[in-house]
Amino acid sequence: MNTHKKHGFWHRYFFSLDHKDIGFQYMLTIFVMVSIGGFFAYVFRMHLAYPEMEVPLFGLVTNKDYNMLITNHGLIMMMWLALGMLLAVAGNYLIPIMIGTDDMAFPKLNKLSYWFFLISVILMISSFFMKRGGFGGGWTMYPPLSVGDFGYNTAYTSFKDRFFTANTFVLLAITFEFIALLMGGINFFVTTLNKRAKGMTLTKMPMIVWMINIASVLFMFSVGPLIAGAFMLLLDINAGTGFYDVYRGGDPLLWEHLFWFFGHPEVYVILLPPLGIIAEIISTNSRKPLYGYKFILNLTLIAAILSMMVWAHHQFVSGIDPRAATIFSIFTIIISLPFAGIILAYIATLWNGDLKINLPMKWAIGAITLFTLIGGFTGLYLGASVFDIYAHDTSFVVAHFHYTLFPTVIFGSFAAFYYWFGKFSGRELNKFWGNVHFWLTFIFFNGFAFPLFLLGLAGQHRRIADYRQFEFLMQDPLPLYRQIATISAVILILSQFIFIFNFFWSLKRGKKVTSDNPWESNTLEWQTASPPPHGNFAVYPEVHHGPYEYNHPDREDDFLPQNKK
Amino acid sequence: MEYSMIHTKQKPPVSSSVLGVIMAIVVELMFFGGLISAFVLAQAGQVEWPPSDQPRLPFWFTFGNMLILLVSAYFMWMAIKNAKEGRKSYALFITLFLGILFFLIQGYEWMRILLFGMETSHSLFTSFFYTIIGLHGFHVFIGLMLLGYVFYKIKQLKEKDNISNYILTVGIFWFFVVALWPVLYYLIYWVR
Ligand code: HEM
Ligand SMILES: [Cu+2]
Repeated sequence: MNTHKKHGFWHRYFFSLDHKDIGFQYMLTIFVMVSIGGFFAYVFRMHLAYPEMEVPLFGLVTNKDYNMLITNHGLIMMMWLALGMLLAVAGNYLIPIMIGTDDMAFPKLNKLSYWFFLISVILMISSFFMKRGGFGGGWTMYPPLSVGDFGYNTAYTSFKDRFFTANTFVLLAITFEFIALLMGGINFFVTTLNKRAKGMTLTKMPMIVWMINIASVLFMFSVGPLIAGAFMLLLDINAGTGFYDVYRGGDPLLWEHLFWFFGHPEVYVILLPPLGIIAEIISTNSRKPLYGYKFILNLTLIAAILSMMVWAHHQFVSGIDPRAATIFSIFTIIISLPFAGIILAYIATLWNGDLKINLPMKWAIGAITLFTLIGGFTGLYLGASVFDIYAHDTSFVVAHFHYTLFPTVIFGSFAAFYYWFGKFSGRELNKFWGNVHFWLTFIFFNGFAFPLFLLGLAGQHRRIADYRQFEFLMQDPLPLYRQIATISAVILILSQFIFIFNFFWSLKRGKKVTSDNPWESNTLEWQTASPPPHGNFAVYPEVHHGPYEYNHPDREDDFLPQNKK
Repeated sequence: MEYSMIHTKQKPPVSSSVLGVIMAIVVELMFFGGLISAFVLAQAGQVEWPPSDQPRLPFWFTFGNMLILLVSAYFMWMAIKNAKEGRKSYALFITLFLGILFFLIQGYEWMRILLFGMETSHSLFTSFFYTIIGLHGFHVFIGLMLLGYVFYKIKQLKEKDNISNYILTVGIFWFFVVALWPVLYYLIYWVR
């Protein structure tokens, strides 16, 4: 076994090949990105509710600033927070240890993946400081807006002028990030197939391992066309090609297809890991086996395949043939069935359980509740093209995707943090502040996102910097709704500081954990020291049971670790 | 290490590096799939293809070059087979040589077309031509680097299985690069 040596700063934060260290590097980098994304949200929300105000810490928001802020908020949250946290961080921390091995199949590739991610972050941040300002073409980057201020008129600009623009840098950043995530995903997949502990058959793997792997593979299948599209857009900006230029026979709709062919599967790439996290937490904390392990798996695979056939539901008003729209509507509505099945299985898991309502459990239940009742449900309405033609590009859509993304990405990540923090740091997060954090987040998230439904139904278009130009949108009570949303959003953002302080304080000063298996869970990560040593296990485990054997009738303890005979 | 399921020393049915390269090829297929479908759709929307004011692409010349690439795949296959049986052979070297030859000839052709005055910005056709062929060229380049690396690496290795695994891994990637070319050739040079 590897000896446990103390390493210096550079090793820990830059060169280490240990999967846990790389996970930690990803995590810190993502914290930086989220802070930027959150700050942007604060600024433009303030501007929407109080358009004449000079926003504290920013100043007056011009229309151009506004575009830049919402664009980069969306990009950072979707690409760097959601994908990064749920694939890279969760995958790096959890996969090797939960399948009972020492590290990834390719540790060096893993390291390289983080470096690419770091480059992408640097490119992204430098894009804010370009001479012509940050990128403002919307997170979906539709051309010709995303081709930049110069448009397709190349006559008076030099290559240098066009290369050193935010547009170029954002596209490069995304390309680098995707390459990073692909290297990570290949690593997860190969590690899972080839490095499982003895006895860990595929159906004895914890659900989260499955979910991250399915998400990674789905990512691999869907991201190619987007990278192709982004490359073509990059050439349109820098090499004078005209792929998306109508005047030269190109077609801007092509981008929408390539983007959403990836974009819709992406939302499932984002959704699946939190579903896995929730599965771990609710099974352990209701002291019951996960209901329908194989049923959930099959439904997930079906959903993953279907998710590649629904993309055009984002394009119902982009000039799509109504016959095609109907087909995409039908598929979109069908795809909610497997998810309904998965959620039902989760409810069945909780049903009659010996529920332990601790912090991870609160986040997990909060996540499924909000996601199902509001996020998924409104998605069904949007999926029907007849409704969507009215609701498209209004705040209703913004509310829908916040109700899907926030519960999964944010609640899901927090569930994971509160669940696994003790394991990976050896210290406990403060429970009191944890509870305060949960309730503030839960209440003010709803306070922020719910009014957007009402605003959207009243006809409030999204991506408009200043609603004062529309009289009907300034009538009571719409400005009030906007203010409720903004004030809630500000409190929501401020409450996250509680978590940040709790996190870093506990990392250094928190109470040492008293048990290696505080939740009395079965999976392998709980059967080793906290924090796990380099190499994860003192003795490599041999697996005899499935991950969810709680309350086994023939046993005295109500749990049965996977590696116990 | 890379070989064994940890502590059981049991060989996984497919080695990690081969699995990894297969997954990478999945991504590549989707990537080129995106490009090709964009190309096919763009082409379908035009009245005249390729536009009549464009220089004609060197049809037979490139056809000959394609044969070189296909032959290189044959030698790649030989290399894999020989390595599996533990025999030393020049097959890998010949593959590398033919690959470089293909790459150089393709580069020469590009230079000629460029000098002819066909620019990326001329039309949708030229845009697609340079993008798709260029990206394939880039993959050939990566393939050559990998071949070169493996060629150098296996000199230091003793174990037969290990050598054969390296060659198989790079071979799969090379097959992908080779197999892609006839498809692109058909779509871009042939269809008119
Ligand atoms: C039951 C499942 C779901 C259905 C039926 C559904 C349906 C839709 C539809 C039809 C739209 C397009 C609305 C428009 O632009 O007019 C949309 C937008 C969106 N959805 Fe969903 N959705 C579902 C789940 C999710 C999930 C799980 C996520 C993320 C985790 C998500 C994230 C988004 C995002 C980000 C957008 C907006 C994209 C944009 O235009 O900026 N959705 N959804
Ligand atoms: Cu969608």
